[in-house]
Amino acid sequence: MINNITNETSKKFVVAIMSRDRIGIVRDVTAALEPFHANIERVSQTVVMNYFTLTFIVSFPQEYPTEKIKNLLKSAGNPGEFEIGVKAYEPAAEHETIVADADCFVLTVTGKDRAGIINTIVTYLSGKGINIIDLYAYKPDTETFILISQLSVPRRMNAAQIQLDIEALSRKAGLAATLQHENIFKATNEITAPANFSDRG
Amino acid sequence: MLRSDDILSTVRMLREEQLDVRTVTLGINLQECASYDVDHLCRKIHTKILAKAAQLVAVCDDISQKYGIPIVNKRLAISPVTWLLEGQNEAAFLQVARQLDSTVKAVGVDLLGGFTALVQKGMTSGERVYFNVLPEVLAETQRICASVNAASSRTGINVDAILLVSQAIKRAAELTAGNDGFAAAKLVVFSNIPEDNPFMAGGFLGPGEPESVINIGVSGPGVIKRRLQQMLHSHPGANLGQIAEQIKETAFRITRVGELIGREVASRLKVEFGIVDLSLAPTPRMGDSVGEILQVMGLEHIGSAGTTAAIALLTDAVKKGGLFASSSVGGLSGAFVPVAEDAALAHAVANKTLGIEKLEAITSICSVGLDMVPIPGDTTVETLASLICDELAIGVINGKTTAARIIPIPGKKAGEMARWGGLFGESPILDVQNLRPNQTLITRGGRIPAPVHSFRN
Repeated sequence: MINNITNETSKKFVVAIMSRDRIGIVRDVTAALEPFHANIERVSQTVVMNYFTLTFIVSFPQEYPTEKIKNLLKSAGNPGEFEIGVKAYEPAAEHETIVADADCFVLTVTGKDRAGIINTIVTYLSGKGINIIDLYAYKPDTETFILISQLSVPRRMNAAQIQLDIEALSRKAGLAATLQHENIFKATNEITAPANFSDRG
Repeated sequence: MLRSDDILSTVRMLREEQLDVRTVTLGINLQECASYDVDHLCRKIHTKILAKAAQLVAVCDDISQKYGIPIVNKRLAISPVTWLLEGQNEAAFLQVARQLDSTVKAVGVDLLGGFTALVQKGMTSGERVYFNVLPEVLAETQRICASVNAASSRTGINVDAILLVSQAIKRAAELTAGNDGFAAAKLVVFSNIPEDNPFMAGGFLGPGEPESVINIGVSGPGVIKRRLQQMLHSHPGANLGQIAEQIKETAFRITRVGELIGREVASRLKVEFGIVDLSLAPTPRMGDSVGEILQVMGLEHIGSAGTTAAIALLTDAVKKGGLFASSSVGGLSGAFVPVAEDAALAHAVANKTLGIEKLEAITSICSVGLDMVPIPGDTTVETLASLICDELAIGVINGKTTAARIIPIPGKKAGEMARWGGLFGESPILDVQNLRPNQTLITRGGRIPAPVHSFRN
């Protein structure tokens, strides 16, 4: 039974766990939740340079304090192994659209690695009200940097101008950037045709 | 969610492998413009083309920017001019040609196809007028392309029409002798002409097509060549089945790009989307050659033994990938072998590994035929007509499109260079032996009957 602690309570939480990667982390986390009839509704897990991150939405049949959920999950790992964040899930988040009436574009940036590349790009994007849906960056070798990001660009914006701005910004930083509508990637990589192939629905 | 390696693979196709859309062609039916008053007819043509095509270039540029895909050519294809001008005289044909030339320039398009006659079974009086004036039309205009369908598998071969168009080709070349007979490079003679071909010079809006339609020609051969190079770099021992698989996969991707762009252009222009033509259309630019694909596959000399088999593999694999990618495939859809427009083929002619006989053999499995083939200026009309007739016979018997775009180069002989520049390229002149004057096969004229469609051995 989870002990009562005086802080906010909820039936549904968003949880983030970070640690060095090893076999069995997800098993340990789900095993700790199982006795409380927890239902995991969404999960995203990645490993970056052998560091594991797990984000999930979990719901319970009854309310619990966030601090208790945190302590429960901490006990699922070895002592000091997990860094854990727990927040009560806000129901409004499920239906909230951060950027309304938007198209998804894919940004790719490549070039010689140096400090500050990501900040340069995202500062521009946030200034324009463009939301980052997904961001992935890595170094395929010791010098090269590759950033791939899926962006939610409001339709009212002039996408061509955004493209020109990002290309100019990147060029100034010695990088090559492209911003393209996501349908070009769906068309070339997915068996299912993009939605605008209308006679196939 | 898209995978990052898929995203990078597509970006690489665009940035490093020069994936592009080769042509966006807007088909426009001009039948409603018909009028006995030629001035009135010209005004209606101008108004209709402007109404349909004024935004074509701007829309293509905008979509090109949105997806990061270059669209190399924007073109127009109209319903056959001969339908529009039945009952008119030569002056009317010339006036309409000049009007089309200036209107096409006004909408920022480089070529218009549809100065076309469909005479596979016979000719009207208007079509005879057309053949008389065709050389002047091609010589006097910059952007007008012409095509003649002189044969089909259902009707046989109209040899009378082939003789007339051969005279027109010779005359058109002579009228532009100072430019190596360039006018003849804008005229194609077909068997089984496709009604929805987006590529010039043979593109037009055929019978049964919509009022206005967007047809797409997908990327050139450069992408396939570079994909094969990468594959053979990592797997040097790949067999022909694996090569075919790589071509098929690449064709799938480039066809999808074509359909994506085509549908969006059509939607923005509020016209129907027609087809994606899967043809690999080379340009004279190095690295954008069908011949170079064959060399990457392991063929040392284009024209040597193995060439026909290599093109068969390439053409079939492109079709398989493209047909899986799109339910709207049409046009010519095969590999083009336009000698002057393909640097590796022109080089093979210069090295004497590729002659007109082997080219003709290749065309039995390609989507076009003897395309952009310069021949000596003293080639007789009868010899030219016989060459064309041979090429069309391949198409008629095999139930496929074949075509001839043969250019006699005035004042030049075999081995000398014919140069047009730009997309039309250059090539050494191929050797053709003139028929003896007493040879009467072709001059008998008439029609070679339609072939039997069974017993296909």
